[in-house]
Amino acid sequence: MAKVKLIDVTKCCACKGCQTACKNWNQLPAQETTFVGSMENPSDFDANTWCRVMFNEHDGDPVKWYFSKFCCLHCSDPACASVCPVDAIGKSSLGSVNVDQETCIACGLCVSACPFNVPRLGGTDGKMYKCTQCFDRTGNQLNPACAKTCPTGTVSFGDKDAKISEANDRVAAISDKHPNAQVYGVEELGGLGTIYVLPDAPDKCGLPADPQVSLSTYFMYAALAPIKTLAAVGLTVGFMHKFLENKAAAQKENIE
Amino acid sequence: MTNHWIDYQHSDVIMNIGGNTVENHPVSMKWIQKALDNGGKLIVVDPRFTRTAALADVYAPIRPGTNTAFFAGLINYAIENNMYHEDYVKMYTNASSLIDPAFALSDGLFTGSSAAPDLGPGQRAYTDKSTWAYQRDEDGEILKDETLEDENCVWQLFKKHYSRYDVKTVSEITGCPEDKFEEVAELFCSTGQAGKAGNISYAMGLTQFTHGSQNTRSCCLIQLILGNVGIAGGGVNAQRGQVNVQGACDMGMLYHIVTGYMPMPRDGQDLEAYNAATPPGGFWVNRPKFMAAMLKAWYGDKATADNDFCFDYLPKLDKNRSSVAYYTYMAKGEINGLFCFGDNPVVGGANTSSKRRAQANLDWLVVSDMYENETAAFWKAPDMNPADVDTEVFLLPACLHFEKDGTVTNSGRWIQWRYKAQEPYGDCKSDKWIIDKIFKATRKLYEEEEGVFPEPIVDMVWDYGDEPDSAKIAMEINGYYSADGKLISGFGDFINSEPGDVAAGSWIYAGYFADEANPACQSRTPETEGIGSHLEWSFAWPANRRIVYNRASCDAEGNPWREDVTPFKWDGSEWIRYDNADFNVNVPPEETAGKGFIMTPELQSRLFAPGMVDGPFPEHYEPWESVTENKMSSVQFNPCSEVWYPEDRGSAADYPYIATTYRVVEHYQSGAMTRNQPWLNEAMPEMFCEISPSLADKIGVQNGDMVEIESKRSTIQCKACVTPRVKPLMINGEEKEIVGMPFHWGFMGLSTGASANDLTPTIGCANTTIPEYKAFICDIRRAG
Repeated sequence: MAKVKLIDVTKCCACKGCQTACKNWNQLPAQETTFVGSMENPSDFDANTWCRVMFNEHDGDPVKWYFSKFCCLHCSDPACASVCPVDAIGKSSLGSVNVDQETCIACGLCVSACPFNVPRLGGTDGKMYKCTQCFDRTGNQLNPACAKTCPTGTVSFGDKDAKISEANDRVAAISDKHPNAQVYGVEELGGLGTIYVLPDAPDKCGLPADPQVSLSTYFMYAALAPIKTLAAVGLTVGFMHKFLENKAAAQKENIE
Repeated sequence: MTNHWIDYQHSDVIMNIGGNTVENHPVSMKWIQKALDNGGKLIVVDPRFTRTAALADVYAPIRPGTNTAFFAGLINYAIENNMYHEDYVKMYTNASSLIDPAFALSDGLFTGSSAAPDLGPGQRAYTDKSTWAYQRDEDGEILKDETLEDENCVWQLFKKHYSRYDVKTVSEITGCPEDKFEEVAELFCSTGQAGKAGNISYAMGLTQFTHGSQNTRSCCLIQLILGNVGIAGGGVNAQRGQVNVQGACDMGMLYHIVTGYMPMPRDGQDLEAYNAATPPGGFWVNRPKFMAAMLKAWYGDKATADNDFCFDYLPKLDKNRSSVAYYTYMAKGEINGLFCFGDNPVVGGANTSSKRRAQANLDWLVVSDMYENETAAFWKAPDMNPADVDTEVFLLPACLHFEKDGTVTNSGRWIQWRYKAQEPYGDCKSDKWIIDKIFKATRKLYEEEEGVFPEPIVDMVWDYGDEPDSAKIAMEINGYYSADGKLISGFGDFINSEPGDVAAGSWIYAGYFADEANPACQSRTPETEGIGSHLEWSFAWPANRRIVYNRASCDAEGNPWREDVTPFKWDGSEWIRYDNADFNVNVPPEETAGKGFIMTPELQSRLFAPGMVDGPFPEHYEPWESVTENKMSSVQFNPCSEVWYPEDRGSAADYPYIATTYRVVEHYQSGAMTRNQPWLNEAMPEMFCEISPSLADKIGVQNGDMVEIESKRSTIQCKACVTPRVKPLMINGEEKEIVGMPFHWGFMGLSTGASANDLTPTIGCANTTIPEYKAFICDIRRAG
């Protein structure tokens, strides 16, 4: 059963606990940032920043200030995986989209393919890094670090159907306070691995209203398809599965 | 807090005013969210549209330094629209008591003041409080008019006082638009009905003013007339800005109190004189026993009834010894040495550049901290010349809180034991270990070399072991019988014994460590049914009560005002209890009716409070520095605050903008810890100020540009955050702009920046001397 993150923007107080917990669990160093006129920071992903809170400010009476936790949305049909020429990107049994840096050749096709502009190349090896949905936690029945640390119930993790139903209930419950409230992530791109409860239109919350996989990505996919078929997809999936299992086991040992 | 964090879930309306709860107490949002999920509403009143405001149902702007007027407007609104809880007011407040007919307010001054040049030019003191008193019969009983109609009864005086604060006046003072104010008033005063609960949560945005104590008084008053004290989901809820600041206050860390909120002995006072000032009724009648218990805990067998339990050993308060005051004495060279533990006054204090200069007058300075903070490094600040500083500085490496055991007491008064998670890093030691070593070395010196008045040091009980044991200290605080060392179990042990029979470090903690093997503060059993009191999870002082003044949750017959969630309910033969009572549960409810406030002699809460230094009713005064004149009287600012440096006060002609300071969630206090944490610096890397787009236009600044901010004390530079979340306010008919600044930065650590407190003034509240950090005036311009 695929699992998803539910991010309820109407509950987020922008404490950035998720940002810090992500760095902590994944042992990612801080970037050197500067103040650029907003309390939002870091203002972009990089190889060491996989989770950030977007601050969306709109003037009016009253002012609206929406805080959207943002990281890889773990698409059901990930464009990044489709375009990867070496099949370094795959989906785990829980639905997370993961990259194997040992296979990654740092070509950057995934970066331009992603409809949400999430993956980044970098680190010491220049390869692709992004949110792993904490597969090394979720594989051990632990919640992702961001969900674990969230004090307000903004971020949670669970079975896809249950979380979609929870999101729909929530939107119905808050319609007085947020007349434009909506669920995001069920229909988009055939379904995302992250479901949002938004207080307002997606573009007011920092998310694309109608995310699209670009035409060039389709062409790339079409060009690569025959080669990939030769490369025996089954083998790759099997490899990813083994890879994730090994990594999760190592983490479990660390925890214990 | 009268209530506690978990109790927030029961509120129908929460008003966060003078606080920024989700940024400074993020976990509070867990419980506020539950209240919202149950249909509750959140009101945020703040000069800026904060991250808390982003989640609110109603946001109302307010000018910094005008909370007393804002509350006054709410009180008047509740009275004029008959939204107050009349039965509660009659039963649980002193509304019906008659006051001396000569008592009056005239042009901003209550009766009984006289010129007090010691407090500064033009300042006054209430040297004759004889009119601030109840009328009494020949037996000393308070005269009352239960109909509340006598023109000298508290209620009529209260109504008259507050009738001056109509919506228009309040709007002109506070800058809160009239319709927005009315929206707040209508929603919050709706909790005046029986069955509804309103919660006011606040923090330093109410207290850090020259009239800070009157702000919190005002908060109490609106809650009392709405019947919101003592009930679930209600309360006057001070959210503490540091994990154990409640515990520090409980242990007497403030200059004007000793442990358990007993007053500090005054100069020339002996024990007889101290005890003569014991309140004549209520639970405080036991104060002589609490004081004797503290002295027995400190001086053991040396403390006897014959020698006043060594009362004479205690230091006596001669003058204002607050943190603001002692730096003024230091500036004059009157202080030779300073110990600074877990404090960073050179960033967190008021007017910090003057603090750096004052510290140069010290012979020695001992700082115990995790990092070399700005206070320890004051001599190398950018505005100091090391060659001019002779102070010898000792920096002692303190360990982190996770590297030591002991208790912390949260805002809800829950005393929770914390275990050591890991050994301290390197040579770091706990403050407890450091103080133990310093004390023992000091005592050895006194024993070997004598000195002036060695007894208070030499005679002190100090037996916590070679490696001081937190459990031993906890047992001393809890209290024990002097004769056999048996731990006391609660307040009954004081009441049923003679002064000196019990030794106890802080009487209010009685019972938290009564069982050495299984102390209550280590207990972690969640409740299975109830209202979230969790009586077996830790221990809440006093007497493990989670909501204080809880008799007031019910009417005279014991019917709860709020049927669905209540700490108590009389079922006709006994009390059904979900909390520990602060009243006698063994008698029928009629016998305890109207006696809900056990800490006052009259057993009622006070709408009229003669104990305040600056007036029995809160009256609006402007902050010391203001951009406008006081609309209510010719008394511009609190007439009873001590003014040390009159020449440091700026005028609105030179400094036309309102300035205020605050915290952000990414950093903590003076930043000594968090500015050395790369992940947190990444999230909030630099000092900045927040200004409106209209002010930015006026001074020619774009978002992110460097600006220079000047007050009468100093000038700093930082980046500008230009945002519609800050808006100019209409004050007395003129548009006024606000400059907001976080105060976390200093010149040490991994992230350095200007200290906002370089700009704040050396002045404090008339009652407590907490500095006026939250409202002053400045100029701002483009840097360079």
